Amino acid sequence: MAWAGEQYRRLKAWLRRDALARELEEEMAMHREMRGAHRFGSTLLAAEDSRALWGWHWMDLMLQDMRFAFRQMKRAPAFTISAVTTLSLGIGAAVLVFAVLHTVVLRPLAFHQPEQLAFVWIHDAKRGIREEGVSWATYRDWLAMNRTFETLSVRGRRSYMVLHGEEPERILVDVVTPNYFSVLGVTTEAGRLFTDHEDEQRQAVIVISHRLALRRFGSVPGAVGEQLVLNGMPWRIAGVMPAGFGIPPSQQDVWMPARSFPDIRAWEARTMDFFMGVGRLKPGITAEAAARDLNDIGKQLEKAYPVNDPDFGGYGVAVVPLMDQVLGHSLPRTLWMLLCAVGLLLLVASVNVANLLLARWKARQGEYAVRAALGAGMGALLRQQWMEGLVLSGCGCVLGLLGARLGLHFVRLAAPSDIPRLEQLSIDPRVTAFAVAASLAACLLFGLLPAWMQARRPPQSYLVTAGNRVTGSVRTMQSVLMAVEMGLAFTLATGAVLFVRSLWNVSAVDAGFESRNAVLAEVDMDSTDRKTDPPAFFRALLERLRQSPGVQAAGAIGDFFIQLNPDYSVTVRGRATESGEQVTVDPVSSSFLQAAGARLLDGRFLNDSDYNSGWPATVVINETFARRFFPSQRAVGQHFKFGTADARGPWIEVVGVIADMHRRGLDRSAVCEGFGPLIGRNMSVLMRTAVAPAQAEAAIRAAARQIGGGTIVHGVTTVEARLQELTANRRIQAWSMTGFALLTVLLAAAGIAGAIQYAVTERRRETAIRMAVGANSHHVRLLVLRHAAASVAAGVVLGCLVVAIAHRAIASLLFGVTALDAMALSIAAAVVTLVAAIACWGPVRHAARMDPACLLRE
Amino acid sequence: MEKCERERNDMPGGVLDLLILQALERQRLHGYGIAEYIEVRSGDVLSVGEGTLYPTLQRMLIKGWIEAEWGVSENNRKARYYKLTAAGRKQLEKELAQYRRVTAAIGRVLRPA
Repeated sequence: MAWAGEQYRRLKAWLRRDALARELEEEMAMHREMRGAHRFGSTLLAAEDSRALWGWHWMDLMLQDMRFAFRQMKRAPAFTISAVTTLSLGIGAAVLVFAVLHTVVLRPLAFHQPEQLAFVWIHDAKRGIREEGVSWATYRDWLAMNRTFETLSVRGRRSYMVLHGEEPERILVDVVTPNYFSVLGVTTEAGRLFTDHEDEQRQAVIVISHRLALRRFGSVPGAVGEQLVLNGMPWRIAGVMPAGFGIPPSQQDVWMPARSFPDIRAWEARTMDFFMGVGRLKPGITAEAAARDLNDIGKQLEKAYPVNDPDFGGYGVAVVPLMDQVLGHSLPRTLWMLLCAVGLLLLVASVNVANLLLARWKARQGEYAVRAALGAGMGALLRQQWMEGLVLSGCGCVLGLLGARLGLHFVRLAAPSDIPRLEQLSIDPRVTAFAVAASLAACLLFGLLPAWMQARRPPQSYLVTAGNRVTGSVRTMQSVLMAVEMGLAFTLATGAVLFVRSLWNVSAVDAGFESRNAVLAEVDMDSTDRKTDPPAFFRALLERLRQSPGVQAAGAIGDFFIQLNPDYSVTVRGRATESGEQVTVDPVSSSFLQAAGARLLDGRFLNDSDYNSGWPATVVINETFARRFFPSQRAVGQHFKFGTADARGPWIEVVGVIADMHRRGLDRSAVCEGFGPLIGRNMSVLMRTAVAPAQAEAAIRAAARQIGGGTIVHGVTTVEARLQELTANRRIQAWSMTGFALLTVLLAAAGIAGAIQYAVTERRRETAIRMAVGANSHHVRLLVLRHAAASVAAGVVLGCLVVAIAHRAIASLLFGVTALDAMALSIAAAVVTLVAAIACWGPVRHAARMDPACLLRE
Repeated sequence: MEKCERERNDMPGGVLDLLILQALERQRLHGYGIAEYIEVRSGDVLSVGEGTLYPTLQRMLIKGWIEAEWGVSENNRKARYYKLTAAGRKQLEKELAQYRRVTAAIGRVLRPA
């Protein structure tokens, strides 16, 4: 405590030190006056001793070093500018990438302890259906009997219609149990959540989203207590959730109590249904353990409530951590890879600065000799060097942060829209801390080398001249650094070529459908009354669309850009066992395959006669399905059915085979798909048009309105636009890697140019002697080039090593190329060599032009 | 009196703090006043020059044992007056006790056997 007070007084005294010094002088002058002029004290030492008490010694030293560093930097503007620019480039790029990584991946979701949250699905083992919902009755049993969840809630999703003026609009509604919010650990921004009591009483209460409140009621508090009419029924708004809430964020607009949901047909039914579990695991319990627990409960339930359905194959439960589901797989991997790439960039920048510092260190040997003669010890010299390094990296850090801030604007504009949380991108404290850490790391790296060189040169040695030894070691160091730079530039260049090739390969894949001039629209019948018949509606809609001007063909499919994996298992007639491969069958309208431009390989497309009122009896399959299931025979005419051979469904006949349609993404391998004559309630409508998409949108909206029934048309876009979105990740990879590789190669070129120029200047005396005894300019050029070529070659070898080590890590991100691709390696080597050659051209010319006579006279 | 003729002894180390604290126990003094007090009370045996006094005063200020404020001296000049703080009083007690203990111990060693 007393110590703290003392430090505080020291600080105060330091801040006022000049005034204090004056006061002290006055005081001592008065003292001398009062005692007479007999004795002469030592006022100078008194003033010195007092001054030492104000502030701290180490602080004085540090400030002295800092001032000296700034002075030195001002005296060498070329060095300062190059060093600071290089550093800011490296640090700025690193901070930018880290900011994106931090915002999108590293930051925990805005829920309380999100690592304990998990989704729960069930799947029917016999019917082979996965990722299905659970019934209300089963949920209640899980809640009562489980031992691994702290709380478990359920959520079902449904789209509803609200009227926005006259236009119907689609709103996504989450039907949840009241404990959903406490599982996530969130609460309302205004108003309150609905209670268990309201849920039990089946009251018409809801909670809405931030953006819906703003849009319909103008303000968030203004929405509380108001009414919202969903599908014609009024609901009372109890509260408003904070902006961006939801899983996935910002998609749902309304949360409704489970028991108030009007569409639950039978609360006691136990077959699969509508809800998905969202639960908080007990601390220390893994998702696998929870899945095992729920599976055990499922077996007990089967015994207690035997299901009459002979197709029912038993419950299987899947528990998936929330974060994995929301982020997906390839985005985090891409971002981490970019962070490594930018780390290499920063490394090259640091090596450049190290090179510059080495040259300067050599040049300042005279200055160090003087300081050593004046009494500076090793500690003082080293401290000075470190301070200069810190000042450089401090400037680099500040400028880098400013640059990154600008870069963020650009990233926000250029990035694809489906990257989660990107709108929250900012330079927050953690990113700043990273920037400081990166600068300190860089400072350590580039400061290490001159410090080590200095440590080998103690102050006493300045009394003895040993200049040549110093030059030799500096030259070796610089050659090593050049090789390292070239190696890193080569690595990044290889990476860039690999990712660009992957992107190119993906774009070249045959989609299996015609992607140009195709407009896609989602049509939802969820919110209409149950009386409207989907087949009749869609038939009428498609007929009207075909008659619209500009629409050449139209068809409907369940979900054009489906992302779910195949989850049905089937048995072929005539084979005893179920095959292991899973298939999927999409509901389509009769004209869909033709409208999409699918290529018929065998048999025929579907036609109107295939459409009857029951489960489909005919299907068109794709190439992969035919190859996997009918490898040695013609697929057309074969039969299969869902589930096992004794399942209740009909045998389905294959009537046609089409080429694979890569709807899941051009870089994903095709799955076994079939297209069946069935129309569901929510379909994607594809229109092949010759007119602008806006016109096509107007046409479909008009057609839907004319037929009536309150269907909602939403998500109108072009097939091409959606395909672009699917490749967005790869484009990020390709562009970013190219950018970083370019920067790194440029930095390496600058570095090598500087180092070679320095070497040429240092060796000019030697060169002059060589020229005097008969070497011509050609020989001299060769000498310099040999030096550079050695570094480049060593660098390429080093780079190949790095690629060999890293290739497995990035293999999963590539498409159509392996990491050890010969073309990529040779292109990278060529680029690096070419750039090095260009960089050396200046110094080489300078070397060849030197006049030996002048040099020898120097 | 002719000061140069009298015997002057060096102050044992570490004692100056104690003497200054003691000087300020009951009064406010400026720098010269403190030096005078010590000279007079010690019968001119101990003296302190300004080269030693002022740095010590600064150190004691930093340590928080004394406080300073500007005032007017006897001959109407601006002078800085020092006084003890509460911490200073505690320090005075501590140093007095320590001094007495040490002196007694030395005395025991020196007593004729």
